[in-house]
Amino acid sequence: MTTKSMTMKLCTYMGAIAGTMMFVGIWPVAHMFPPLDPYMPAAEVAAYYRSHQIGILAGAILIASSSVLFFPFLAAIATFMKKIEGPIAPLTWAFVMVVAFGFVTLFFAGLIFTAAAYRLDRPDAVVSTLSDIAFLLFVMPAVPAFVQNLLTGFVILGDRRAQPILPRWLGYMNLWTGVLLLPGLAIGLFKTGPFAWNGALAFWLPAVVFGIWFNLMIVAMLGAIKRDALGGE
Amino acid sequence: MAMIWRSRITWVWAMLIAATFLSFETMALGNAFLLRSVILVIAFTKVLLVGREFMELRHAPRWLLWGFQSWAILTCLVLIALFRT
Amino acid sequence: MAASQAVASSPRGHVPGEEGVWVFIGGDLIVFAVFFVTYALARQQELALFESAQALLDRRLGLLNTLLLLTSSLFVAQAVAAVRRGDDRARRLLLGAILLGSGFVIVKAFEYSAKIAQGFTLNSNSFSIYYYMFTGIHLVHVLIGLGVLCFTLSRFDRAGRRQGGVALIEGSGAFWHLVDLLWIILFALLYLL
Repeated sequence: MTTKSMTMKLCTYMGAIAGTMMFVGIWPVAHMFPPLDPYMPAAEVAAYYRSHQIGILAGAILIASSSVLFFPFLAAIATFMKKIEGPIAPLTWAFVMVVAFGFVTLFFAGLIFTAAAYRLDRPDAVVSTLSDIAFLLFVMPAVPAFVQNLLTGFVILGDRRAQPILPRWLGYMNLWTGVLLLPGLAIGLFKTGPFAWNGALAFWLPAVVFGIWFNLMIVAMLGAIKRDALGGE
Repeated sequence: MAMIWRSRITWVWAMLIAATFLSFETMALGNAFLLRSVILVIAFTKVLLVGREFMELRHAPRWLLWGFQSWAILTCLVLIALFRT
Repeated sequence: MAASQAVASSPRGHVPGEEGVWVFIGGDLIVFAVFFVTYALARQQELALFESAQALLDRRLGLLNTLLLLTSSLFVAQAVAAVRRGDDRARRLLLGAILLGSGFVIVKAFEYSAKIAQGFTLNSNSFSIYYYMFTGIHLVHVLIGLGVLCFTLSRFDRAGRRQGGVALIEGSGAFWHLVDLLWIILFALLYLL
């Protein structure tokens, strides 16, 4: 095994670590999974933050750190995309720029969860406003994710090699994921029902789809690294 | 151009159009459980026709054809059950 | 006639398009099944509201759109058969399918604006949320499908022939039929039931 494929493997695994950190941070540590009901009155939201203060602060550290650790994983995807596209690689560049701001929202979500839980004597309205911002940062970036998946899908399907660098089904999988993340765009319009930020179709469905996408991406990328798809030519 | 249209898929299309009008008229008859079930069965029969004929799944490998058909039948049954009231 | 049909239909055991397309189509079918069931459950919760709100929809526009998509699907299916025969009319058939599909988008835009003018908007009631979001997500599929069909059309050479295999037109055709098939169910659920 060459040094380069070792690095690629580490970057890919970093995605699994980041995903796990984010999930552990938001769910068992901060108790914010599923998200608080958008209809919850400000006083109840504030009370929730006060009673879960330490958990939220610790979870926020995990969430903010995971945001950074996603980047080696995304860089590994970009490396595959660059290999497929060759020297003229506009879609890879677009991908790199979109993920750079798409995943940074996760870092801000962590910071704002921290701000909301930092002082116990803040007025209720301030805590609930900060909480709203944190959840919007968490769920609404479905839009950059949509573009990111579309770009990945187009590049994989545009591969003209007899033995494609990444399997073609993964390209279709990316397009499908992109389309299904889109309802997240509309969460600002609803406080209740399936398209609110804790709803079945704007939260649970994209969460499951994202989980499937994430795991299949890692499996397919490790497979491609194993057969040394990046070497040669 | 005429010859193109004398084919199996054109007949399928004619059946789909007829089924569409049939379900439209069924709706006008009222709103009983039986009528709702008829509308759902017509809709999913159309779905099966589109899949088997237009998507050409009737010639596809068994896993693909039956994957699709079981999706349609299962979804139809669940919806009929949920539209009981 | 019999001979040309044998050529025009797909061979036995053949996966239309390529296997990867079915990852997308299968995934979409499962997700839309979740949509349909969510809708049916919500309807049970507020039966009277759903029935009175549904009565406000213009069912004839829904019917018109169903006819447009079904006919558009027929054109695509005929185009696939024409490509297999090496018939140079495939291009015109595909163009016809795109025009019919664009007709769907125009009718939908007209329907939305008429509804909004009547004060029936996104957050009017729980039925309207489903109506706008489901038809909206479906409309995104229609637009993607139109893009895919246009791309397929652009792959024909000047003489109207396609080089290489039929996989591209089969795959984009399968996606277009998926769009049609999902609308058939949405039409029944939102407009008829």
